[in-house]
Amino acid sequence: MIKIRDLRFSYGNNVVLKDISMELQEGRIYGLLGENGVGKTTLLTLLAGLKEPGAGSIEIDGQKPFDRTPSFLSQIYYLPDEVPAIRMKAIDFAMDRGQFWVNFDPDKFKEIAGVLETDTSMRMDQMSYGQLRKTYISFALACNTRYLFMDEPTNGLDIPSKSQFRKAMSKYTSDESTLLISTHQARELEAIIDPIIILDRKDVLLNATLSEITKKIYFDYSTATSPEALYSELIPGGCIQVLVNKSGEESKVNLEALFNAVHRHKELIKKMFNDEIA
Amino acid sequence: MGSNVLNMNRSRRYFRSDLRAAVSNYGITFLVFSTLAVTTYLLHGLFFLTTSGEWYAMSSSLRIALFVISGLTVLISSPAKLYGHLTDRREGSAFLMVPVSRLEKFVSMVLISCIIIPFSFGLIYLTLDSLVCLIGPACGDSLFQIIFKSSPSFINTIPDLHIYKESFRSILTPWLYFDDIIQIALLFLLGALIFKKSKTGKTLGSLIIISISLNLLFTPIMSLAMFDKFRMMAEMMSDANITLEAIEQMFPFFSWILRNLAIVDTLSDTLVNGLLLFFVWLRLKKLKH
Repeated sequence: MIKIRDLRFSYGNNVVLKDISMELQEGRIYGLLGENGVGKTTLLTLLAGLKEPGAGSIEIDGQKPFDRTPSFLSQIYYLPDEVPAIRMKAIDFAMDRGQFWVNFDPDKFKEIAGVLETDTSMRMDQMSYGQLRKTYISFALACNTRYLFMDEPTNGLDIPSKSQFRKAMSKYTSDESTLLISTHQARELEAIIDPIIILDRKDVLLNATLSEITKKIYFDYSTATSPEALYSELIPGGCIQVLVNKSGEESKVNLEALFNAVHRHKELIKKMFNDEIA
Repeated sequence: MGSNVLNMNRSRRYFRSDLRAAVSNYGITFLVFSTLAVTTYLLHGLFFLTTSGEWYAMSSSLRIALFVISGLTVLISSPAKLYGHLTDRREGSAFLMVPVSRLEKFVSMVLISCIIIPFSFGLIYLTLDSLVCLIGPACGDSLFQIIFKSSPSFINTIPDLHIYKESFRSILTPWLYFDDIIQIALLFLLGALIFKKSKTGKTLGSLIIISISLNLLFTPIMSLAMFDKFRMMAEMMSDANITLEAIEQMFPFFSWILRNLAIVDTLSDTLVNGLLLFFVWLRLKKLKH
């Protein structure tokens, strides 16, 4: 389990994360959403132990990430938004690096690379950006870690690759693994992420499962607009509206509409999910 | 997973992996510099063969200069080439994420950049030079013979040092330079881990600035505080009639230093190397991305 308590982090005088607290349960694929610059990447790097918290604490299974102990590192993998192009064949890289992750499975690496249509006999510094990312995605999943943090994993992937990525994520992540995926491409990943975390500047606006969200928020896909809508947007064939769910009726979550509604009514949403007015 | 500090099996595997990466990143440059003994010998000979019709071997002084220059180039450029990428966000993150302890990463890094690279360079270069001199008799003494067998005869020509001649001779033994070689490699390794760009140049620049600053700071202090003593000692040592006992009675500390120059040199180098190792370790520990 990941426990974050009163986490603070700043770059010089620029405070990025302020008193952030949350818990991430095991066996879930969290989607981390937020505007540019709210600290999504910073949070992921803090979780991976690449940065030291300014104040507060992070505990992952009782370990502090910044201690960067081998036992901790072998249980996590962080896939950054930018990955190095190493002068090695992808398969050699995987065999060389993979030996340090106790649960790394070379056959799984080859299999996922096959699903993602990546040539593992190719040198990584000669790959396109998309191929390189797919190599790292294959490696990340083949490490079989308990925690996997991904920063914008679908960036640079073409349309078929994005679909292959979703397929690989569904097929090759174990039920015990906890994934935290930061993304701006909410639509592309809404089929696989649940719960949703929406990060704001110096605050967590929402940390809830899709079922918790649909209990409290209703997504209306009709043509008629309501003045009570927290957010509404015209879409082909009608409009989508985000409303407070008063009837208890279930609806299909639209992540982009949810994100916009949360951003327009920050305090209301925070209160709703803290059970103050719901 | 074993110990979080040191696991021999994991250390071995990491060291092998690190060494493979070093060969991949620096192998060709290393090969070019370490085989210069042969390539320059052949080029030099061929040049004179084509211009004057005769084969001329390179002089000893030219070969020594070339060895020193290429050795220093390898020593100061290899740390940045091998570990400079750790300050880059992408490659540095990948390095930090490898599930190996800080100690194991540190030991592997120091072993490769401060021991394996410089000493295997020296070994390959000197062996090739010896082979060249074995095949081509015009070459004369090999560098190996020059370095390890020659006696620093110039000491005998300096009358002022007659009392402590053996002590001064002792610090010119090549074995005493091993810790200096490690020191240079450590300095440039630290520079490679601190500076983001122009690592070797900035390290050299910093060393020059530090050296000038220390000189500016300590020279006036030393001059004011100890000038008279230094002058008196120099006068006494240049006096042919002065006895060793008289000097040692008047300047026991300086006499001990002069008598034990090799020990003092080793101790000071060990201290500086220890400090540099600590700073490299600290930098590695605090590395963030």
